Amino acid sequence: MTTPASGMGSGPIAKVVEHQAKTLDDRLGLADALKRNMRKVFPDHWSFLLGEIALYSFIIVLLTGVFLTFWFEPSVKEVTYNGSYVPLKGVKMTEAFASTLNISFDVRGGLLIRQIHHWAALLFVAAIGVHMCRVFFTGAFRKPREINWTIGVILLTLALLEGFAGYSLPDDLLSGTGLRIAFSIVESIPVVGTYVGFFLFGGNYPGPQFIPRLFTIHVLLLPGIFLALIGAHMIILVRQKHTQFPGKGRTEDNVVGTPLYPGFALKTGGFFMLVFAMCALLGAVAQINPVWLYGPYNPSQVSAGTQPDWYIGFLDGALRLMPNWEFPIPGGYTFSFNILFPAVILPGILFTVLALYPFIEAWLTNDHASHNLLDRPRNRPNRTGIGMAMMSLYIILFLGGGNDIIADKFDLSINTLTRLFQAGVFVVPPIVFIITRRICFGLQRRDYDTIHHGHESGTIKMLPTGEFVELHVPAEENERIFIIESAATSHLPQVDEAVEAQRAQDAIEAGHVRGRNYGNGRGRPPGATAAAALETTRRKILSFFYEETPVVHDDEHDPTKSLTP
Amino acid sequence: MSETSGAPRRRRLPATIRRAKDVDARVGGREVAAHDEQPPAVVDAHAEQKSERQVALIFLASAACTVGFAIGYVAIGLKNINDVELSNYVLGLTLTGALGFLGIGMVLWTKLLMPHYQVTEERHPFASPDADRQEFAEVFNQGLDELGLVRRPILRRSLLTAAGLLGVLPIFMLRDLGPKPEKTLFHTRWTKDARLTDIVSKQPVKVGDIEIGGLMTVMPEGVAIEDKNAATSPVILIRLRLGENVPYKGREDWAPEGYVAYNKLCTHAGCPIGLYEQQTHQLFCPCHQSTFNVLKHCRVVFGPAARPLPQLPIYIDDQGYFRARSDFTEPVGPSFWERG
Repeated sequence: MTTPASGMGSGPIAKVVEHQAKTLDDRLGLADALKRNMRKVFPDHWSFLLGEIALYSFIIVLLTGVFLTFWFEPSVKEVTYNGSYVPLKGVKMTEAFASTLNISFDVRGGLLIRQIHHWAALLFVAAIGVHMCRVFFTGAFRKPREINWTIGVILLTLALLEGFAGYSLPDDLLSGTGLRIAFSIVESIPVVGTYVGFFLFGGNYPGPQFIPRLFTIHVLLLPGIFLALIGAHMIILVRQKHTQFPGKGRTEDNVVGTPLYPGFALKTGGFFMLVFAMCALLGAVAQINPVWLYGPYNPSQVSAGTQPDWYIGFLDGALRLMPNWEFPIPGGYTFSFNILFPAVILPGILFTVLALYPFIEAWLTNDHASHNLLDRPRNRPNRTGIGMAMMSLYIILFLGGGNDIIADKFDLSINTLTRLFQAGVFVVPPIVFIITRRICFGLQRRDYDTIHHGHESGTIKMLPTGEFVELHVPAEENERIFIIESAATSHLPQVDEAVEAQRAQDAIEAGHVRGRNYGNGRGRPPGATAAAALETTRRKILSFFYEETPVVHDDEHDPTKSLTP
Repeated sequence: MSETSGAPRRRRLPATIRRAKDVDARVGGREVAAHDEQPPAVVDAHAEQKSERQVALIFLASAACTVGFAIGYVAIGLKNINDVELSNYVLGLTLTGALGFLGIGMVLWTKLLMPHYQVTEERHPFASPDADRQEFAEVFNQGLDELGLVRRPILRRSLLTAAGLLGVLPIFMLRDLGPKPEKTLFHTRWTKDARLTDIVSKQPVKVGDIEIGGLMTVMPEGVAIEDKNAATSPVILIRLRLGENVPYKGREDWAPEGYVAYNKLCTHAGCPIGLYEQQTHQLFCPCHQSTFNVLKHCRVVFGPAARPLPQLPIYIDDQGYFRARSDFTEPVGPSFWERG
């Protein structure tokens, strides 16, 4: 115990490292920063791996993407194919498509890398989505991490764009149809739509400029932004340190886990290899985007069952489920609400609300404290309910994007199915919200039970009176701490009656002062009514969505009150 | 390893790691304290050696896969589609092995051969001390004062004007990205008296070339689909039974002998209408399922499209060829703002 820590230890390797480290530190002075960050603590929980998967699939996409650029020709110049894929020999196509065939059939390992690139891109978006769910349902986005959440939402949005851009580059029949729809969506924007479309595409669809421009965006502009934002995401993460679930020895003021060097570094390096291996396996055995089967793009052709990549599915579903509302505007104009709403307004609203959610929740619940301990979803039934409701909406839109496939496979009427999904958009999310809340309350009761009665042992005992009872074993200490702490830390801040009363008073006063003359001829102070209305709205939303109603009102059985025995 | 006695011994660990507390107190300086949650167990030296060998073997398996990849790369040339398939399997699976075994080995190394312990790091509030904030505010305000941004409104406003204008400059420079839409979207490549030609064979279409209930995609004669602004021109020519067609008012002579011609672009999002159901006489867009009734001037019967497919007025000339009476009388394809 008393041995003083002796520099870097001994042995030939340590000597060399020490020498190199000294050489570098003399010039850069990094020891101070490194010594702190080398031991950055990573809490152990499986759900913390999800963000890593996203990061690693991004690296895989970068590596494989560079390989592909060596052969890909982003050009719509027409050529006659003369490569080794026999069925398309002599067919006229763009250079973009021909070079994609070239990568697939004439470059050794080209097809493999193309497929790994595509699979890793799908994984990238999926991992971001799941990582985001984890962060949402555990409340990891709360102060001080709101900025990182917002950066994450921007990354998700860009990932969708980046994926769509890459998917469109080969200029095959499937992606060309997708681009045609994209052009139509741009056209639907009021006033400037046709101009934006013509400028982006270099003319009417299919413009001569679009593939090369898309290429620049796909390989230069967006990856650059990605690198910057992911860098910021990581730096903020390191600066703010990880969140953690409550547990023995874990408080708001510490973080418990494995240090980065050496344990976590080796493990996560291995994990990167495994993610890469999984993508390689998919690239080896699971065919993806076989553009040679679709053929080159031709504006007069289309294949049945045209589906975009999965992450665009919800938007395509929204387009399919939208009623055909198109409005004439006096003066000879058309407002294409049937396209603008599902493809522009809806995602615009969804992603904006998502990006600002931490601020919205803090405003509504008045919770402006810093949180480093995570919530268990069950202890925040309303947030969990909202999240699940949004997920159900997403899933319905996603299924709507595959309504033709579902109708075909299950032999259903596509019209009925579409009507069902249309109704589902409005009916299912509220039901999911209610059910989720009930499940959360149920789980809270079970926690309560575990604390007070322990677990069932499976042993039945007969009492002298002839009565049968099951023996219970008390919960282990760690489990008890976890349950009690997480319930305790997940509570909304105590309502400060004085502050709330003052807010209400202000709001009432602001609403009641009409009639007085404030010199602006409107009989009320400027902005006061708006403030009152805002406060009323806040309270309404709060009481509807966020106020945690205890399941059982009996104090003894109220899990939110008497969990601590 | 020379110690092969097999006797249980305390796992040999670097002193610094075993006593995590000391390490962290030193490494993290002021703020780090640590505790051992699971002190390193007493490990069987034999078991440890076994684990070490296991991990080493797994690393070697990875190396073997890499060698396999190299062999596959050299040995399998790409002469035909079967070679491509084989090459993809061989390269893909060996790459999976190379990466996967390496990953498994690294993870097992941490699991089997490294001490497991947790350290605790203290957090500190992010907010800077009040003194720092105040100092920052002072420096900042002093700077403002030196600049005179508040005192010198003329400077401030002219600077903002200049910078703002400069910010608009790049938007101007994007102007030449493409032509203005002008009237491009209001026209197709169809002209008066243009013959309808099969898009595949490029032959002009004659009466009788299509069976009843059949259809054909046609283009104006001499115009290929790749030509400039030709992508909106494809037309579906359908032959209905005589008398089946219910023409729109004023279009009674647009469908000679039961032949009707409609633009192929969906009025929703511009996908080509790919499917024709003979029984119900419906055209169906595979992209978003808009459905059009061919008998009733292609009006929308289902789906998100709002307008009927534009009809091309056609007639049959003396030699029996189909010809267009004119271009479409309305813009084709999806809606846009200026459409009217």
